[in-house]
Amino acid sequence: MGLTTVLLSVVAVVSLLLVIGTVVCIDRTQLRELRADLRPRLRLAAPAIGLLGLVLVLNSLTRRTAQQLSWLIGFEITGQIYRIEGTFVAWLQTFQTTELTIYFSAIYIYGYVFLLIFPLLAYLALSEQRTLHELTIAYTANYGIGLVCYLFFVAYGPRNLDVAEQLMYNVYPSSRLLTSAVNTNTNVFPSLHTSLSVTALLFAWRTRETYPRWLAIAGVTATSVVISTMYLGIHWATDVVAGVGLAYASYWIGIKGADRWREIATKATPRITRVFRSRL
Amino acid sequence: MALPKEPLTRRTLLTGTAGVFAGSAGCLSRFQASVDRETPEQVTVSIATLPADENSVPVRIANHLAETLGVAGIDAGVQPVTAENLWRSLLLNQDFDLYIGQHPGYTDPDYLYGLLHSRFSEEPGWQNPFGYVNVPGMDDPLEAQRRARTADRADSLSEIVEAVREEVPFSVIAYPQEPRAVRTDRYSGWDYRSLESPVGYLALDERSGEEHNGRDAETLTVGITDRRITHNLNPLAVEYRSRWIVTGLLYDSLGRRIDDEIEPWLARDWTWDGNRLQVELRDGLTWHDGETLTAADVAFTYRLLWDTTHTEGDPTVPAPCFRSRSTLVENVEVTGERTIELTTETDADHGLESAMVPVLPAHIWEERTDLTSIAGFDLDNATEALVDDNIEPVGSGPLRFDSVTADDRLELVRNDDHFLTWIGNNDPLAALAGGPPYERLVFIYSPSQANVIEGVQAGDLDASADGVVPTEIERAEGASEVELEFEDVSAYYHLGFNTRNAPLSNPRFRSAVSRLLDREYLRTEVFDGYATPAFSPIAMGGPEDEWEPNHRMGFIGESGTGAVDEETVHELFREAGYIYNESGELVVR
Repeated sequence: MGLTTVLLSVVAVVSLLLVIGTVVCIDRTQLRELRADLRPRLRLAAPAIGLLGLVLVLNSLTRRTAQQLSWLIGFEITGQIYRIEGTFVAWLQTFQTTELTIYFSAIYIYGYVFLLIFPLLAYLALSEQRTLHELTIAYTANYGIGLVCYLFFVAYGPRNLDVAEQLMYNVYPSSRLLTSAVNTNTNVFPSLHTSLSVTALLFAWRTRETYPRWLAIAGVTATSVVISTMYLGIHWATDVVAGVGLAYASYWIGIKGADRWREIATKATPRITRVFRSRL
Repeated sequence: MALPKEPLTRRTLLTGTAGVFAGSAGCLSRFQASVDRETPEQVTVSIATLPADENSVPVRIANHLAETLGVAGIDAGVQPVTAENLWRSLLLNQDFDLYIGQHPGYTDPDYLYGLLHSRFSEEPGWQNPFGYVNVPGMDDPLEAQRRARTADRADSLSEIVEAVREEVPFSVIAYPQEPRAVRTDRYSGWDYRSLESPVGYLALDERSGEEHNGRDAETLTVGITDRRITHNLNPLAVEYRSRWIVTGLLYDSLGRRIDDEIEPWLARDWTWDGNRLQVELRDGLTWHDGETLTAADVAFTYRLLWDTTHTEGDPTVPAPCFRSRSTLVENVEVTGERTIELTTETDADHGLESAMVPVLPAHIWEERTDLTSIAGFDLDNATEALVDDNIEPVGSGPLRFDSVTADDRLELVRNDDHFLTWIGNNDPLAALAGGPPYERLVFIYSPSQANVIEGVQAGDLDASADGVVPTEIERAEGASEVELEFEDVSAYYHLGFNTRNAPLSNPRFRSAVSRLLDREYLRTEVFDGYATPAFSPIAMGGPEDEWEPNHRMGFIGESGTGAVDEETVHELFREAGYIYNESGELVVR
């Protein structure tokens, strides 16, 4: 199975999950409203989504340079992390069963992508667009801060120190093609899988009155993603703790930064100023 | 007698104070004796090695060692580092305590001259990376084996092996059996010569059309998990090379080892006159850019390997590799357009090793003899020749560079002007006549060996360029259409010490540490049986090696268990002159 096949499978599975999520969580009136009002809403969301996209593109373009730079200036902390937490991840893996490995592998790849994308859709369907902006900014903050950490901390996950087994990559080697195409194996501290999932969960809590069912789904999925990062031997518990901290910080930045962002975006793109004023 | 009227004169007061100080002097010296010495501290060492993603074997050895070192009261941490950074810090910057790694492999015991002679202790590269100096004990036999006749050479070599085992600048752990995963529907001859040498890539045979199911046999595609070849193709950049296979396809040497014999390669023929090797090059040799390859290029290459600045004066910046071979040659003289004379330190018995260095084109490399400068500052320990990525190499080899995509693929094409394409049936290289049986050789980078094996099974790849690690052998054996070609390789796993710093500078300490390695346990648990444990850096395992499970210089615990008893280990280090504190930590001042 090549990289293209893996990508196609992600697109297919996540699309299916998104449809199910929409049916379960978003009511019809909202969807009808969304369809009627789609263009202006998208235009409104474009700058923030564009910024997020820019951060992601920059990350992928500079990955090798950043990695070389981080070997030069960063702290090598694999040994220290191991000293702090010892064989916790290996202990977690003693509970392994075939079913759990299948479940957590699916969660790590498909569940995670779904968990991050669905709220973008759900918040776009709200007549009040503020939450979408807060979420987008929080995502951007996660990546931005995370990438700076990756520059300063060089750490390998437990599977690379052979403290834990690499369950997913052993059972589904092709998943490796995907993860190695989007990240480097020394970027484990903090765990972005954890921080982004917890960020999505914090927002699910924030919108619990509008989307009570989504809170339940996000709760189960985010918890599973967090456990999967360790169960699969990819992250240390330390990475997960740092990831949760990053999630809280990013959530706070998202909430507080939405107003500031509105000012910057309206200044930069006067054309949509009017829309912003009337809608945000 | 009445007391003096004045109760305290100035004088009595002074005397009294002096008395107080006098009385405390003994106390002070006790204080000084106790405090004014350095507090003993626990010995802390870091074991550098590759992450499991790059090779799962060395990190497991390192974990075993860290555990037994822990029992010995030594605080040991395992530090995984990318191959490029590992070799840069070990070989170029000498910045390490211990490492577990794989030697590039050897063809003649004379490689030990470069690895262990004290004259190289300040040189970077695979020249004495341990900083080990033992002038009579090691240098003498290293020099003697060079001069000795074959019969006497064995004695010098035994002396060297003995000294390595007693002094332990490094400790050989095992010679691995490395299988390549191959599919045989397009090409045969995988077992004929190994992918351990560039010759393995040239000795394949194409199957006839109907045999390879009508699939295109123009391209040989191999999977590789070492991405460094997509970033650097400089044969002198030691941190980017593991075994010089790819550069060995791009660059030729005067001679090449084929089935245990060094055969003339670029040389049409050679003759010995005492210690002088007279070489005649083949007719019509050219570089990939069309320039003629002459004796001047050969002479240039040896001078460049001696000093990459290619000048008489200081500083000299020797190449960080091929030093054993290049120092075998004392002088090189061009005697004609295609003839050259090498004056060697030895004779016909093993002087041909010196003919196995890659010949570089003078017209390209003489531009690279300047010292490197960064932002206007000259660095006097590196020349352009060592730091250039040489990513579009101009060689003379049977394959020519075509294109490269970083972290993805390297494509080479057949060099139709290579001498292999025109040599006749009575040439010693007749078995390789006609050149490679494919138009194109493509190396595809994969993040893991599991991906390579799946690629071979799916038919996207013809073979794995690297040896399959023990943890993946089962997967490869279970995959349909994938065959495994096992071979014993000389690239042994070893534990290296930085002998420049205490306590690793003490041979007794190193020897005790080396006895914490349970080679039998590693053979079964880490190598899954696909390795031969060994002590000797020249025996390649087997019967000549002295290793046996309960050797007196072997594991201190019960062989095969991997576990050591705390009291026994502490006694081992106490005998070596070390002390323990109350909490069982090995401490030094």
